[in-house]
Amino acid sequence: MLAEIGRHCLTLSLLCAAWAAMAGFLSGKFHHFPLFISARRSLYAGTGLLVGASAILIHANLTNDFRLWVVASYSNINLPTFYKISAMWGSQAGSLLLWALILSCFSSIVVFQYRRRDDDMIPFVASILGGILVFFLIVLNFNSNPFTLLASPPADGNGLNPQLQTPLMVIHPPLLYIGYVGFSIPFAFAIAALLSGRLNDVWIHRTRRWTIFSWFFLGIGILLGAYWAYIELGWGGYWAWDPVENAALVPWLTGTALLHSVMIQEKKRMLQVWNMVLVILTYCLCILGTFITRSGVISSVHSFTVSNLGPLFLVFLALLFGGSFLVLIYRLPELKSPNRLDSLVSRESSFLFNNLFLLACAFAILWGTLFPILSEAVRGVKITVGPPFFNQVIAPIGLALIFLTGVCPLIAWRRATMKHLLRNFRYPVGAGMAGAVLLPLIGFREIYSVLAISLCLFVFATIVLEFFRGTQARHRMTGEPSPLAFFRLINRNRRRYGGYLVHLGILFMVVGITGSWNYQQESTASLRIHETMRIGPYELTFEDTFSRKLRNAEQFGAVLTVRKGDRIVTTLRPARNFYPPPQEPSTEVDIRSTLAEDLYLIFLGFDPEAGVGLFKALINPLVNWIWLGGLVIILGAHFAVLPDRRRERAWRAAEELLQKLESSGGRKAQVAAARTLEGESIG
Amino acid sequence: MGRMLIASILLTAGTAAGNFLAADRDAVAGIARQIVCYCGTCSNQSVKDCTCGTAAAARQEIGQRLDGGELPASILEFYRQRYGEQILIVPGKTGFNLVAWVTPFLVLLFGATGLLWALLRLTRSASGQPAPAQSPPQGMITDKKTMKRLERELREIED
Repeated sequence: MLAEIGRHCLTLSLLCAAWAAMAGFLSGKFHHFPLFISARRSLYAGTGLLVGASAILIHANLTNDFRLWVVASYSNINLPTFYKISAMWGSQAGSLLLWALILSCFSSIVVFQYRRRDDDMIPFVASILGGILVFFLIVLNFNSNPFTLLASPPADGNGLNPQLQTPLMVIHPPLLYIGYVGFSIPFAFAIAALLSGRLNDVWIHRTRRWTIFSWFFLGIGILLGAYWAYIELGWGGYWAWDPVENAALVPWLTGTALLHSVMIQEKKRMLQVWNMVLVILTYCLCILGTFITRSGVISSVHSFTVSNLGPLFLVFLALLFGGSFLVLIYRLPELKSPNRLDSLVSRESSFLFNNLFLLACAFAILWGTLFPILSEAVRGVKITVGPPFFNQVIAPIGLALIFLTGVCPLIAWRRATMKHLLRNFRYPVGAGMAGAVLLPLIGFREIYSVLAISLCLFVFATIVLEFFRGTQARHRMTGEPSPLAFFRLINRNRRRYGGYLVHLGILFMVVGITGSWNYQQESTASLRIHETMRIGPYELTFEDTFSRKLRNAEQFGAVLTVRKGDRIVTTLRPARNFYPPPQEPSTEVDIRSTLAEDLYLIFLGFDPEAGVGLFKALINPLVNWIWLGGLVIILGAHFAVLPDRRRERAWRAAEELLQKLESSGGRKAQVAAARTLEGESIG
Repeated sequence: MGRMLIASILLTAGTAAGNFLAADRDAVAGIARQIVCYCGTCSNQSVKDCTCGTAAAARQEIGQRLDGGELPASILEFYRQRYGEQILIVPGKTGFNLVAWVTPFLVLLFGATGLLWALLRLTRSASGQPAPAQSPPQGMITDKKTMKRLERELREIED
């Protein structure tokens, strides 16, 4: 039977992962290349087996095989095919299988990329990735096996929670897992560098794209989760500081710090130890994040039912954290790079302040999330740490971060002079101050919102200036017409200008968050047919009700005409979906979106005897700037990672030349080449 | 199916008709904002924000108590007594709970101090090293070879 084959696939892939871990380690320790080939092939085999196991699980969902516990719990006959596939990761066990599959695929890609190199580091990378896989496969085989059978299978399953039956919720977990799992690669390279003694910058260079890639997917996953909450959950907000939301945000923040401080190491060859710490911290926070989600240690809406998964994850986390820091401390004497800082006011130091505030933010969020556990341990009393705590604590740190976003790029590397600072900051500071004066005049009364948007104007001006001055300088140098100069400028500096674009996207999001959080209006009313309620400049008239049969639900809704002044702006159709028991009805809100604001309408209920409908209307100003900002970030991130063929070619040519010199040059050349490859500068 | 539908709509909305209007009142909202909804289906939302029936009933009760002349403080205390400290959406700023509020800022202060100290130490050990001369090129360049060289140097300076 297929489920049996699935079980065997899981067991065999555990053996493959274990062998990869062992062979990789031995290969690295004794410089035995054939063992690395064996480890590599083991990882490939493991990936194949996991692809097979996943296919079997999806097949079971598609064929309504209710003998499998996970199929009976999360799928049913009437579930649309699209959601039968995604029901694979609706369960604890299924989602762990997805995680293991992604990890296995990424590991195979990495060892394939470096298959021809007789390298010191890569065998250890294979070993560490294999080791992480071993943990997840142990959990899959012995604790949460997706191929567990039911003694007496039911005729039909429970079905998928209706709130998860939207395309957004289908891709949200895979995107997050790609982000979480992706961070294992830089982690593995960092530890491999420590184990192998290859303590130069090579590990950073090799993992830069993986770091951006993981950071990007984790960020988009979080943003999509917020968008889903806004559209689907129907309470008018997009972020509730739920423990599971926080658990994903915290590693994203430390990942952002990592992205930035890695730039200092690449440019100035400083902060090796700090970057190692950040990588280890980020990955451990990813594992902590998934532990918080899965173990239900802090009860929240997202969590799966509490299982004994918790202790297993805690042990793994302790091994990961403890082991990493042990290796780091062991190699510490060899890692100390010649840290040099020319001035307190330099780009290096402003980047370090960026790190400080990002990590403070991450700490504050983690602290608030875990404090209830601490309180219960210390006082025996359960408490709640809800949204107002996070809002109050994060707001000032957030403002500081916006400020730094504008300041850092304009401060020169090494040393910034007063004249230089004044020249760079004249217009941006002017823009910020103009904002601070004008914003209250156009309706922004709340002090934090004025500060936030003024700072956004400041940063926006710095970004525009960067593009402008760069184009101007190039135009003067080369005589190219300005548009061509602009195009060539950003094309030859993709990382930098892509980064500015990402910052711009963040600014948009800040504007959107500030508007929607501080200036939301709400109005609740019970209306008979043809009665009207008012909110802000809008008038909503209840025209009619409607009912519709959906594939797996009965939909009952209301039709309301929206007027502004005396013209009809739109018609909204909020509804409620009623699913067969045991599932709760869901709210399907209707929204009228413009760049300025959202008119958000919730249909709360209907009394047919009295003919009275209950409605809650909200106005969320500027909220669409958040999603727009997300799109800009996607654009910027893609632009930043576009391969720079000239730079790649130059790097590879240099490496080859140096390797040639090391093996066949004269004695002095050999020593110099060896030294350069090891990371020291040529004298 | 039709009758079941109507019945379930009635259950969720019928008796709650008046409750939702009570939430419009600012005074009720002020208190409702501080209490977590205990319906179990929303996450961390206050009784003011949650759209479920439990929250609606709670808002009506708060409204009735306010009408009866009770002070906001005693209404909050009443909920605290009935549901425990976890009904409050944020911990109070007294006793052990103060640790919750203060710690993030202490950590930030400690980190900032540590960072400044580390930066000062690093700059002091490096003082005495001259900054590189940065002379901007002048005039317009038409020679391709020189242009390429300039491009390279420009990138090095600006990066």
